Amino acid sequence: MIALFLILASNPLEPLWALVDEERYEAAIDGALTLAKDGRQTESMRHQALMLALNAACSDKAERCNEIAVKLSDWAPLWRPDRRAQPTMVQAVGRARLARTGRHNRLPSGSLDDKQWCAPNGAVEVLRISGQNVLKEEKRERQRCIDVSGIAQAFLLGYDADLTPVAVWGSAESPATLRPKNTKTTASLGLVAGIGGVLVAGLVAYLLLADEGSGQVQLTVVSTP
Amino acid sequence: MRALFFIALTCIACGPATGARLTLNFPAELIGNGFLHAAVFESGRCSELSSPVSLESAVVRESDPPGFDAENRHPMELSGIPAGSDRMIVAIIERDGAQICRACGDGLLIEDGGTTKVTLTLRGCPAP
Repeated sequence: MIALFLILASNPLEPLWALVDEERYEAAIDGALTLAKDGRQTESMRHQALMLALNAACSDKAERCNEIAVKLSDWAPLWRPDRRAQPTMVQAVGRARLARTGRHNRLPSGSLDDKQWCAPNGAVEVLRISGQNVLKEEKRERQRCIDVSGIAQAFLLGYDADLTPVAVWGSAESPATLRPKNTKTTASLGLVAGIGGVLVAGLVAYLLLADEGSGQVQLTVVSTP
Repeated sequence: MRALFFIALTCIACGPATGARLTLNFPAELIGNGFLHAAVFESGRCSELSSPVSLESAVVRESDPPGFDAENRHPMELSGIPAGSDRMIVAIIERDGAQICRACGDGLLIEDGGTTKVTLTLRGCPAP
């Protein structure tokens, strides 16, 4: 019995799973979301809490399956449910993942410089996903800005206290380039090239207009005594 | 005259040069001592012409032997003159490095692609 209390005390998810077992889904969901929003918890614990909330939400008598699926697919973009899990849950997460880019396109892109990316005011947490294909690195920080120095491409998200994205840079499928200086340089080059083109065109036009052509003189020199 | 005839014969004997053709014409009536210069200036007034005339500042310049035909005329053609008004044209006979005689015309209008006919009269030039 003492061991059971110790387990319950050490794992805050246990009482929540008990609520699921009792089919008290809303209470389990609310408790799991509270745990997931607690930045003092480990990332693993928060992730497990969200998965618990999803399990509860997608159970037969719950109605918040799509809402939690969206929240989880936004908070953990690389995560996919096991195909052997509840079909309702797998399908809800699939829909949330498919619609993710469309949701994120409506969000601001935050501010980027050569050292860090910052989500707008109101963000409490940022996630950086970098790397290519299966070798992706995730870094989450409980602050509004995250270091991006030395990273060429990344998918960046900023979350508010409700774990809802408030700013997005790039997407999970196509990480965006983190080269603001190069972008600026490219823009400057484009500007210089544009100005140069206009100047050359102006010079050509000036020369064409300024050149009034030439003529000839048939001169007859007459010598008289 | 015999010397010129000898030069002409020598040129004929040598034959045409490879890759180029040189035609030499020596009209007897135009052969003389010195040069007949014709020069067009971008602007200027004949009344203010310097002495000697600085031919280096001309926009177009042509030089011929200072000879005249039986009617005392020497035709010249100056092309590539920038179009515009108030051009000045000068004819000068130079002999032994000195400008001994000149005639001038100003207020000349040169039109693009056009030909302007000008007659300048040299008066009282010393005979060669």
